[in-house]
Amino acid sequence: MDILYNLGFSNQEIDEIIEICPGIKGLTFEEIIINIEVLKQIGCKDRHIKHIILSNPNYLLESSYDVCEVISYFNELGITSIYLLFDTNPFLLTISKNDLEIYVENKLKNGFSLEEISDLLEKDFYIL
Amino acid sequence: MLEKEFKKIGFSSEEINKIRYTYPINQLTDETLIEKLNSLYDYLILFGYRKHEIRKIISQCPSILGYDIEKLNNKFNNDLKKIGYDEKQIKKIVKSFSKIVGYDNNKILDKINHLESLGYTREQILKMTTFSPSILGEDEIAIDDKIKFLFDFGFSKEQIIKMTFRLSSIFTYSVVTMNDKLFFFMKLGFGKDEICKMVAEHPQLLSYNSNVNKSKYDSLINEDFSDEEARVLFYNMPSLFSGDFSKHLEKIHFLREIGLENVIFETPKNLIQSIELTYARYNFLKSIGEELSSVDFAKLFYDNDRFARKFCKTRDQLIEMYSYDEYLKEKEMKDGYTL
Repeated sequence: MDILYNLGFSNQEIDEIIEICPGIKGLTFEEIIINIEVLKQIGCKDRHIKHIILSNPNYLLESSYDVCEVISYFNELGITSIYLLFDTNPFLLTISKNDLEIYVENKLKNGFSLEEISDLLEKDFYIL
Repeated sequence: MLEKEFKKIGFSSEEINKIRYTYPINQLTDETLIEKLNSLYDYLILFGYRKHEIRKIISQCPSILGYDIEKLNNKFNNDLKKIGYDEKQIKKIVKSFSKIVGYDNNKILDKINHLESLGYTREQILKMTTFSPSILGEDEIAIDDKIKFLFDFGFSKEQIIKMTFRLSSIFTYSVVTMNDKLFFFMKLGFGKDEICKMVAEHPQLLSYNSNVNKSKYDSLINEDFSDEEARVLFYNMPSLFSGDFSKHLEKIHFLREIGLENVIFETPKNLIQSIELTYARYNFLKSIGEELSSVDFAKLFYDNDRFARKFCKTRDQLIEMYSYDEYLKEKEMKDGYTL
């Protein structure tokens, strides 16, 4: 958990993360650092990363490959400032690309534009 | 030799000892165990796992080393697929709950049928158990008890299905834990109906530590909010309990600074907007002479699409133009100077 201390998490916050997501205790340093690096790559600053992990610690359990797939999908959709999208709605990080595709396709069928869908993604914590 | 083979995958001596003396692995000779370790490793690599993931799978369930690869393959590619899981879901489930390889398929199906009888769709169940596969290890009576507890508390069947689907790990919480967490909100003064609405909207409330929630609540009180105001705010925006609370406070401070404190109570959902964007929009609107007041603030929180159409500026352009980081730096310097 040293990596979390380095990111500025307090003992209380780390306890909180473990309580919400006990599986984190079984993660290796590499697994945690990979997922944090993914966030840094898309522009997240430490304060965003802290907020994302505290909101949705399950993100750390996700495979970085799956997360990158989701990010690529958002890129394909033309969504920019993805770091802000995740900062606003950290729960998107634990949704599979497949589920996101279904969500987006349904919205498109119902006449929403991509810009409107992008706004919905920001505000809907539970798109499933 | 045995230790060397395990160490190749990254196991420590302590872990190797633990695995070696686990039944039924302790019944195997070193040669057989090495053979089984290598064939399991090769199979799992082919299935798409990485070395550290294989290490985790074996550590969680050492008896997997005793399984016949053909049977394992059958479990992954036939049994679990017949239930409806796709390969990605199977990979996730086995990685976080490798005990599943030892579960009889009929036993898994019984659990799934039971959940279906409670009102969940098969698709919901597959998603829930992928996210929290340990549900498959939960006793059916225990699941019924938890649902009954939530129902007796006041949640509707619809709310229970919705919230347990959104946060399937609820099924792994004990009734006592859930009771403590719900009781905490009652102690803060929320009524049962209010709690049901809040938890149904943001089921994570059941997973947060009550002491942490209390400190978040107290932070608002320390900001000169009354109990009633704090309750109204959390009731309308229960997700305020999640995430980095200092970030939420930052937004509150900024809205106060620009004279829009009323936004916090009138439209608390607007607090969801990132502070970076609120800051950039505020400065942009000010620069073009747009009036912002306690009665005319909606444009500050328009959807990105609407804002861009009305003011011909996208979110990215605004964030580039008005950097919140720069503002923070300046503020820090100013505060430092003041001190």
